[in-house]
Amino acid sequence: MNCEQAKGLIDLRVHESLGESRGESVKDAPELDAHVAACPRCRAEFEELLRVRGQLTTLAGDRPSDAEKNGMWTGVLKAMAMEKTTQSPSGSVLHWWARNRAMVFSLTGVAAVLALAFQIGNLQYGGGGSGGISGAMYSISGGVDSSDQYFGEVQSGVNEESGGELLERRADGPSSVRKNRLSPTGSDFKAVGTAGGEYTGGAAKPTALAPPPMPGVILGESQVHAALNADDANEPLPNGLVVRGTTAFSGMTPGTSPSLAAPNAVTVPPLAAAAREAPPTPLAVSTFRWMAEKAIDEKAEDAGGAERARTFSRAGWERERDANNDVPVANDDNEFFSGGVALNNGPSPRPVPQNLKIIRTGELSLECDLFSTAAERIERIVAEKGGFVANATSSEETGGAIVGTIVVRVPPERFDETFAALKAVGRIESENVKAADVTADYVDTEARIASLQITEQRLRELIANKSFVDKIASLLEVERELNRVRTQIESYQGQLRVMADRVSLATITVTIREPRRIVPSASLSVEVASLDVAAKALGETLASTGGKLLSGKTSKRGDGTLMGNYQIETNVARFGEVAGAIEGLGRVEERQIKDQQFGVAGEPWAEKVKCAIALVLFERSRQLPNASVGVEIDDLDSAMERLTAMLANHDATISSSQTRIAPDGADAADIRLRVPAGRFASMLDALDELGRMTSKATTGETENIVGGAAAVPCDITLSLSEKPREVPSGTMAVEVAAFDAARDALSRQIAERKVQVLASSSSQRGDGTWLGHFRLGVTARDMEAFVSALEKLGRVQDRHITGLGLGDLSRIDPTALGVIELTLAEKASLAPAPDEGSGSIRARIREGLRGFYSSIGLIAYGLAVLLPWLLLATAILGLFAGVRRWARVRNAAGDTRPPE
Amino acid sequence: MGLMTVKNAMTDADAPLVAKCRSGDRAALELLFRRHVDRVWRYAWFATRSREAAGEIVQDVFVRVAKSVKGFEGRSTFATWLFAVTRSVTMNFLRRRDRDERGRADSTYLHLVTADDPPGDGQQVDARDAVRKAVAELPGAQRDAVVLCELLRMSMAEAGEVLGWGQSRVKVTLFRARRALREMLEGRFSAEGLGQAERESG
Repeated sequence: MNCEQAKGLIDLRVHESLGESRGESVKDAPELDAHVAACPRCRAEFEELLRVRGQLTTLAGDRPSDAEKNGMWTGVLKAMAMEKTTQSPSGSVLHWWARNRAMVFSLTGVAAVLALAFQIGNLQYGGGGSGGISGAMYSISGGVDSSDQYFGEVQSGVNEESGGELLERRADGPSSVRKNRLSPTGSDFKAVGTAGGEYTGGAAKPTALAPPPMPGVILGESQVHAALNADDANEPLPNGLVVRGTTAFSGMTPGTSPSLAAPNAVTVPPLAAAAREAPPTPLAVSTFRWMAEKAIDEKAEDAGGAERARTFSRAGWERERDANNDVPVANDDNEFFSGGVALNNGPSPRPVPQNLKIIRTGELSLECDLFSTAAERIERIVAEKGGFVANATSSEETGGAIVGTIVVRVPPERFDETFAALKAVGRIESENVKAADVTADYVDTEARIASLQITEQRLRELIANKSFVDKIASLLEVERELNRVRTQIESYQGQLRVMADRVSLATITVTIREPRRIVPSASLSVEVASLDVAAKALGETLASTGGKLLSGKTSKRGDGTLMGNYQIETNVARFGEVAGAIEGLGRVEERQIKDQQFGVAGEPWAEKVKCAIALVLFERSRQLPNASVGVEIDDLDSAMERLTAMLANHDATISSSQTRIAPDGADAADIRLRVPAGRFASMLDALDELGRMTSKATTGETENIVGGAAAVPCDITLSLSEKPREVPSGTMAVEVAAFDAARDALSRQIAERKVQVLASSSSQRGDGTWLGHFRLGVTARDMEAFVSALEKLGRVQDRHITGLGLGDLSRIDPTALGVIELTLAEKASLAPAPDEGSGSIRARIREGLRGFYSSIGLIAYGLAVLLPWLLLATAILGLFAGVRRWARVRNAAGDTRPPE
Repeated sequence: MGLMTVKNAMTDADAPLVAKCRSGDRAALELLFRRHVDRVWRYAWFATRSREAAGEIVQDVFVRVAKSVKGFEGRSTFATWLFAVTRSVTMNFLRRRDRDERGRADSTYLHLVTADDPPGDGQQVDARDAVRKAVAELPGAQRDAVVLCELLRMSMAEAGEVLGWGQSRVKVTLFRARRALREMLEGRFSAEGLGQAERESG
């Protein structure tokens, strides 16, 4: 390998040797290494590269911090958002449409299906509208674009052609007819199963059948029944269902049309013309209903349960008929056919037994918004139907929902209409109608009574005839037997009466349950300025909203502030209002609201259902004030008088006071006041009026203290002091003619007036005169006289005395000492001082010396400046002289050279 | 180092994220951001010698990326494209800044001394700072070459693609840059200090 080849590879090799492969690799590394080792130039290059690399790797740690990174990312997002918002509005609308197109379509589809379902529901439930479509569950696929990813989960079983499809519908409400069938065993239904007619009782008959909503819709059995009730029985039903019937009276003979071509054809007993005219009887209705269902069920079983639509065929009907052939048929006398409809039970009409005893009971479980209104409605309905409420109980469950049971008795012939009316009272949870035939029991019991009556009769005859063998014993025996028979008769008669009662009045047990409601609750913690005020406002709120204060507890905290715990009950309708009013009391510190529903205020139940609010009102904790005030006053006594008046105004008291007299005779008092915190600020202001406030230090809060803390006494330390009294004092300078004489005079004065000499000094001045300084303590009383005495000592040069008017000592202590600084100066002599001459000689010598030194210095300076020049000049002169000498010597030598 | 050469553009590790990003996936963009932010930042930092400016440039770069990733055709790796974008944003930034700062005293390299340097003894920190200064003081083209090839560990081919140069130009520039770096640093350090730096890096 030569250098040229190596050059291109060294770079890679360096990276490799640092363990940083870059996808490329040096193929003949050993050869390269050998070359590098051998060739000094390439080795230098390699090493240099390695070194630079090494230095650069030290920078590997340079990177932004995580916080910086996050900041940058936020910046990126912000910038992107900014760009988005600056797009044109039409663009954003389009954008929204593109994103939510699928949702719009599916919502439209759902809405359409719901509207349809509602329409059907209305028809089906007799247009009453009370049940609506509650309880129904739908699995719907709307017009969903299956390629769209956003609504993938809704798409099960999508049908892309239809605008939407109702795949399945389950309804637990009134349509679950199967639950309320008549007891399907025994002869009950057979006896009356011939009645062709409607079964919806008193409910309004639908006037039209909804046209097939859309192809492929499968209807539940309720709709089949609805179809059966249609006026035109031959109207084809959706999904190929056909209802066939004739208007001819043909009794049990089902479907006169022998060609039931459609496999799913429903054939029901045709409605007799007469029956159409006459009002349908309840039993007939029930029977018809059962028959229809039975047929539907069987059809479903035939089809292996696979078909959702319960349909049935002629064959099923025929089986039914054959099985029931031996059933007796109702006749005109049957009390249950009070409508007087003569029914022909097909080929083999049978009489219906007389006095058929049927006990009809119904159980209905309803969910109603409010128990009370439901109960009222039920009572009204029952009264209309000629029945009565036999029993009513109710209890409140946790959560405030009321559950109650109302037992209603109605005449059996109005059972169905009553039951139907009751169903409209609320949402049906379950219903159950039973008809128990007790005819056999009844007849049996009657027979037993009859036979016992015969026995009784015979026993009576025995007693009457007195034909006994053993008279007494037999008589007793017979009478005992008679008693037993009598008791039994009565017992049977009792049973009979009970039965008759239950037969004569049907029983409907209505269980009413209020829906399990979400009752809001709140827990609030509000800071108020004053608890009393807030509690009053709370009371007003509760009074206006019909709320109740269940419990209230007020406690006082350490700093005197109050805290109240309240349990409030209000109704759901006013919950928001009350909670809002409470929050308006002050600053809300904590708010927990659970399960608040909006828009329920208008619901009738909302007024009656209670909900609870736990409330804590507390006053802000206070830093109670404390002050220390110093006031300068003119006179302590009058100040104390004014202070006392102030205290009365502010409910304040003096807890301690101490008076003292200052050295200058001024009175001072240290007073500790106790003021309610609420009056603290005004008290402080009032103190200002006592005099000049010299100091004021407060801690804690002084302003706006209200609530419980306002009554807490707080301390003010008041220091009242009269203005300091100034004792006359000052300085005086007196020039005296003779110092000694003046000092003697002063001494006399001092002795006479008992003046204290605080300090004194005297000194002789240069000219032999004397100067004296005296510091004298003079009582205020003597000051004036003393000062005038001093003035007589000589010529007053300076006098500066301050203090209260010298004559007026009323405000100061006359014995207080004032200080006079006195200077006594002897008049200076005019003779010249002898020392003056010698001093001037020394000065003159010093002067002369100074001149000498300075001239020496100047000379030295001059020399220093001149010396280099002198040296230079000397050197030049010397040089010049030398040159001339040399020239002379050379000329001389030239002259001596011999000629050539 | 997860970088591939141009030859491997089809197996670019960023490709799936880029594809997601193209359909407006914010999360994918963030992943790309996290993956490359250090390197983009370091490039900008060396070019501008200021942390603030580098942060600004990083933001601009990724906003540009988000906007124009649809136009990225995958002919090169995402990384090379990203650095082409970075370079153009940085150039714009520098141009703007030069205009703004014309006549002002030349900005010092004090920005480069960062507080969050990894701890080391005084000499090491000093050495690092000197290297930073040296890199930052290189002429623009040389600095680009050094930053891309040495600090960001790109191959010459990739760097060439980012810079729009032929591979030989990259090689020559890099060579000159290394020489210049060595000259700048040699006067500064004793052999011992360099040895230490090397040992540390090793």
